[in-house]
Amino acid sequence: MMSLIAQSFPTTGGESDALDIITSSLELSRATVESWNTVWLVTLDPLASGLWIGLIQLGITLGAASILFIAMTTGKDIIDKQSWSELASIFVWPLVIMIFLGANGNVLAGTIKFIRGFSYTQVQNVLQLQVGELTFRDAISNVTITGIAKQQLESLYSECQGKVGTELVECWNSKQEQAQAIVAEAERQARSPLEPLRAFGQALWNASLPGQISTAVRLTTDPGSVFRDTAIPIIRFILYALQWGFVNILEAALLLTALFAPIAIGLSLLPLQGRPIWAWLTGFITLFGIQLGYNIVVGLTAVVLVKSGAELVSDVAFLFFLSIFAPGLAVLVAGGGGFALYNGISSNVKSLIDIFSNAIGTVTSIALIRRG
Amino acid sequence: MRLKWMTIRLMTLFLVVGVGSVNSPAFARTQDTGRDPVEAAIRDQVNGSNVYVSNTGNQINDFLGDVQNFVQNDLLSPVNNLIQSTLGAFQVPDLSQLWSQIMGGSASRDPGAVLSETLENKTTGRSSYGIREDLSKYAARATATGVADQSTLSQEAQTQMAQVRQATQQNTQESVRLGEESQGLDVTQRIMQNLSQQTALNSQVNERVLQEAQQARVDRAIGNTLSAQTARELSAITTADRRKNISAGNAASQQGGLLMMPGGVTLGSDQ
Repeated sequence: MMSLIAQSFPTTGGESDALDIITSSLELSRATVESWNTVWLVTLDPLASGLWIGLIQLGITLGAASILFIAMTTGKDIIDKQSWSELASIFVWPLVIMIFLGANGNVLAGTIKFIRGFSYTQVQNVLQLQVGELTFRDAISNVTITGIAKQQLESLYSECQGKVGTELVECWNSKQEQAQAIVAEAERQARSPLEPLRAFGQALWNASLPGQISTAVRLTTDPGSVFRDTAIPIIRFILYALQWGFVNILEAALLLTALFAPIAIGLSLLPLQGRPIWAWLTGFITLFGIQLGYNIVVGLTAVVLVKSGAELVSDVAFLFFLSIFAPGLAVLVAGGGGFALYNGISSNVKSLIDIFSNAIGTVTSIALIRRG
Repeated sequence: MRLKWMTIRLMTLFLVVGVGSVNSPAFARTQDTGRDPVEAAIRDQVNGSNVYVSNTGNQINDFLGDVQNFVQNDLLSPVNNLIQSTLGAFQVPDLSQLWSQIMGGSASRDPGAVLSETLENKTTGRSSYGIREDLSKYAARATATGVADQSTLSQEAQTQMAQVRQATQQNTQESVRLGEESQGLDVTQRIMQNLSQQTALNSQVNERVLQEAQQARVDRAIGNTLSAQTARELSAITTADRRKNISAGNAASQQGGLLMMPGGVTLGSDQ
């Protein structure tokens, strides 16, 4: 039987479909991004979003209750002291609440959308930063698509893993056409030549040629590394899923925070240690800070990998970085920054508002004295 | 009274001699119609052998018909066509040729191969090496179990074997009977009697040999079936491993394609 199979078999078919999977995944990913944008627009629609209107009403209710509370607690002091400045300062926050929560929170929704749009642009622009001739985004694309293409090459050649002798050679040679197609498609998707992947592919499809086998194997083009345990793709899958989960939970957290804005504004009347609206704003901005930090860290690392030609060898390591270490780092840094930001905003804004209300009070007093 | 007694003794003697002559074959031969009992027995035996030979021919034809039925009915059609084209002179598929043709891609349109392609994301109609190999092994296993079943283990095959055994038993009994009859014949030479007895015993031994051969054939058929089952299990493990591998790889690639960066940036060339 062995002598009979020593003939030229047709090239294997169908693995190009695996590339279709990636293409459809990319489309799905784009659809996810568009869906997030749609969800933002729909949820923060002051006219049609029931959720937003309900939250605005809740904010107004809390604001009204807060006004009553303020009137009962500080109103008496103001009347006793006859302090116009304090009286004026009492009306600052109700005015703010009225502006933001009035008309179903139209101004608030617009403000949130503006902040999001502005921050999104900044977060996206970070990925367009160029280091040499390479943008962060291209570097990330190159590293990730190289990893995916390597994954596909592994799946392609895994059929030959248990073969020996003529069977091995026949099986191996039957994969060449598809391997070339995978590399070409990966380069098309990445819009740039992927040198390490191409070198790896050439090492694969030249491996069975006479004279090539004795050639010294380089680390980056070791054809044997195409065989791997089933656990490796599972590890990759988990890491990719973690990254997906991290990015999407950031989006969800942003939206959730945005939806809490009416409540934060409604409660901002209360004379608490810090106004909830500043805590809210800090949280909102911090989330963008995490996104910004994550993009910078990942982009820089990807650029380093591409510059050093290590994107093929370090595919799993990069995934660990992308999914575990970079999110951890970004959250830690942005969390600390957010805390400092909150402290800064709450103390400075308090003094600013004090100055503002004092000025109003003084102007009012002078006007009353002149009339009197 | 004395005369009466003498008459009785004489008649008794006469009767004894008469009965002895009737029972004695040598004597009887002279009284027969000229038909030699040994020749008759051989003729009978030849006639019996003719019946046996014609039975055997029928059995072979039946067996070949069974194999063809198995080929026609038990396998999927593209593979069936291949098997039909590789039937040898004994109407059993040439496994090497079958393997070669399937590995050459001749059965890529087989429904099983097409479904495998779909499951393993290879839908261009050209089965991968592994799928073709699976199909080749499947055809070989199916041929092995089919031949074992149809030639030995099926009810028809067992009936045929029982018929063969019965015919052999009849022949043996006839042979033994003739041997015993030869012993009783009036032959002066003792060695001829021994030879006849040995021939009779030989026939019995031959029958036992046939029984053993039939039993061995059944054992081989069952052994082949079990080997095919083992091969099927091993093949299932290999195939399942390959599919798991491909499935895990595709899942990872799919999830990798879903990678998006904060700010709504995705991979790919269209963004």
